[in-house]
Amino acid sequence: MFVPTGYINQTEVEKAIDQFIGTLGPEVARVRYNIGEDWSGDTSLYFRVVLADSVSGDITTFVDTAAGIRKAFFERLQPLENWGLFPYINFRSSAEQAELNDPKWA
Amino acid sequence: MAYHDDLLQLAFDLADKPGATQAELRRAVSTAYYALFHLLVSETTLNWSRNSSRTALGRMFDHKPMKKVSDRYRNPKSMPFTGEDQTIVSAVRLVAKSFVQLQDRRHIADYDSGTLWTPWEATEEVVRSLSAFEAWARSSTKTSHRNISSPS
Repeated sequence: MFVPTGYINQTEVEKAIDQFIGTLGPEVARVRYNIGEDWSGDTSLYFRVVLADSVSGDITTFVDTAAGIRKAFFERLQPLENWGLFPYINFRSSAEQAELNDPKWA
Repeated sequence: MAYHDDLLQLAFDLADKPGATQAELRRAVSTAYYALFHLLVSETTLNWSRNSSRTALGRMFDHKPMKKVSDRYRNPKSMPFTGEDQTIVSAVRLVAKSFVQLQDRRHIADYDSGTLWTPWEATEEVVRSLSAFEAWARSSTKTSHRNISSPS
């Protein structure tokens, strides 16, 4: 049975995440993240991914691109397997972020 | 249409509405989660032999334990499913992953008034719920076929 890591080395986690983000393609304009607790109190990773205009022309392309990037987070970064942290991955287009000007996504 | 199908359609209608308000986008996300929640409850209670007890059984489902179970199913370390049909395993993991994410988004949509939602963000959550519905249907079909072809 899987036993979640008792503690996590935040520096190690951040280093791995930064390396992973660097491998993402040009369809990703930027990624912001933080470690926090979800509603049930479990320590989790929260990613905010801003997609480039090139994949934000229509909702279908946006959703398909988001699905592909989400898959990469789960399969290549493997935060659940490596650190016992569930990744919550949320997406916005560059245009949406420009309109909202949300500092958490900037 | 089943209740969970109605909920999913409602979520789409809310997210897709031109000029949708924040209230409508929040309801879309919340409804997308509840669509998946009720699909899983419905599918589980169908296995209960006494039809008259299914509704009462359905009311016993709790969000937090369902999240914990989904967390375990999502993780190959905790549930490796060695020797199982990996297409079914993959579909079940997708349902589990979608359930956990949608549940978190539902809490933000329902309780965090400081978070603004964009129409595309809401649509993405609704599509996630739809993908989970489709994955569940794939896994159920394959499981049924396997049971039929392997009566032992």
